[in-house]
This record gives sequence, structure tokens and C-alpha cells, in this order.
Amino acid sequence: MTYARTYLLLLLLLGLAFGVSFLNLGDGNLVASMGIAIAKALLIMYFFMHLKVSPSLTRYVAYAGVVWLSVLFGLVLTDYVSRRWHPLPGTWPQQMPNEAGEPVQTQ
Amino acid sequence: MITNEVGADRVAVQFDDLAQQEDAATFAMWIFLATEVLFFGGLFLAYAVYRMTYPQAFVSASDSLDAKLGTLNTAILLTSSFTMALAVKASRERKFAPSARYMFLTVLIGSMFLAVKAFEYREDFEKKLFAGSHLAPGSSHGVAIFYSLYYSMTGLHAVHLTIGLCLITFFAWRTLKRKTSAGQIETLGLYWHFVDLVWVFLYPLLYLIGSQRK
Repeated sequence: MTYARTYLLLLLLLGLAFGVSFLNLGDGNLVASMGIAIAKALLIMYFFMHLKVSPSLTRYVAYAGVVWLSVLFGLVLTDYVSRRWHPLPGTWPQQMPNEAGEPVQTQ
Repeated sequence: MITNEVGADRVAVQFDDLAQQEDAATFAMWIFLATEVLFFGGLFLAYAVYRMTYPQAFVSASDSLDAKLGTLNTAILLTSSFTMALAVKASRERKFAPSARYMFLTVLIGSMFLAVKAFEYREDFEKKLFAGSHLAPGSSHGVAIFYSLYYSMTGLHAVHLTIGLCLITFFAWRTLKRKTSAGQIETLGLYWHFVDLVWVFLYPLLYLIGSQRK
């Protein structure tokens, strides 16, 4: 793929992301915008940053960055997401203030 | 062993040939970029945790940002990545003057990004869109957190971009004097594209989540 074609695809994806943000898809908006961002990132990495023609050692370093990032997100979000699953005993301090700055009662 | 008349293409003693030297350089740059992924990753993680905690506040705070300027800046940065890729290609073909021209063009376009961002920051401040202005009694804690993240993420990105502009200017000038190697420009390009990559994720997360857009 030539640089010009990569660039045009990136601009197309940008237009798509901007357009989709006007639709009301609920959670689909986040999925769509992140999907488009990942597609753009892959285009930049594989063609502008030459990952496609890089030695496999270099490619593994790029993948390693993503792997460690997912470890970071995976472990921390496991904690934060699962905190909402069970009620806290009443005497425990509540964790986060709500939008108005008051402590939230988790269900 | 490849020898070359140009100083920057000289193979250091620990390498077999120029190709191995260049592979080592790009390999090292990717390792640095992997640490940068985690550097920015911490902020993205904070964003994820607080967006889960204050979903409505994040939506309403994002509404106040100017999505058109954000989109314009994304297009500008993608363009600068394109011209940088062309600079790398020209230096690979040992066309020094075109390579330097593309790099100066990249610097110009990158500066346009900073100019738009500066204009946007001024607009944000005039609309009192910053964390402190939302800490008055009765105002929202989540909105303040959104703006803290907005300024730290775009600010850290702008710092990286400024460093990139300085480096590209320096190497463009060296390229004009034929004192750079293709490997150096390749490595420089990797850094610049990374700055673009970060923005590709910042843009939808900061600008495109507002409710007024639906």
C-alpha cells in the first residue's frame, strides 16, 4: 500500500468517526469510535511505521507494548468493574463520590 | 562490510553492516515507544476508570469542547504523518534536498496543530472550561476530573509534539548538509508517527462522546 493511499484511508476513517458520532448508538458509539481508532492505529503502524516490513523482533516489541498495556487495563479494570457487582457491608467506607460529590451507595 | 562516504552512514564497530545497525536503531526506538505506550496508558486508564464512575459528567463536559477543532487537528496531524513518511522515503532514496523539504513541511504542519490547540485552549479558558471553575459548591466533581484529564492528556501530547518539532527541525537542517543517514530519519519518523497514534485515540475519547452530538 502506498503512503498516499494509506493517508487517504486515514482521512476517510476520520470522516467516518466524525459522522458516526452524530448517530445515537448507545454503547455502540464507543465500540465504533474505538474500532475506527484501532483501524487508524494499525494503518499508521503497519504502513507509515513500516511494521509490515520490519524484522519480526521489532514487531514483537510493538506487540509487547500492547500486551503490557492490556495487562495494565485488565488488572485495574477487573478491580473497578467488579466493585459494582456486590453490595458493600454498610459499615465500610463508600468508594467514590457521585456526580454531585456525595458518596455513592453501590447496589 | 558496507562502507559509505557519508559520515552518518558509517557502521559502528559493534555491527556487521549498515542494515544490522539500522535494525538495532529501529528496534531500540520501538522499545522506547513501548514505554511511551505505558506512559500515556496510565492516563488512558485513569480516563477509563473515571468515565465509568461519572458517565454523565464526561458526556456533558465533552459537549463543551469544540469537536470541529478537534477533527481539524486530527486531519492536520495525519497530514504531517504523511509528509514525514515521504521524508523518510526520500532519505531512503538518498534524495537529501527533497527529504529536508518534506521535513520542514512536517514541522510547518505540526506547528499548525499547536497553533489550533493554543487557540482552542484560549477558547476553553474563556468559557471557563477548566477543573478549578467547577469546584464551586453544587457543581460537578466528574466534570472537573474530565477537564483535568483533558488538559493533562492533550498537554502531555503537546509536549511530545514540541519535542518532535525540535528534533525534526534539527535533522532537516542536518539533512540539507547531507549529514544524516536513512536510518536516523527512519527512527525520527517512528517517533513522529507515535505522536500521531496517541492523538488518534485522544480525539474520539475527548471530543466525540457528547450528547449534543446525537
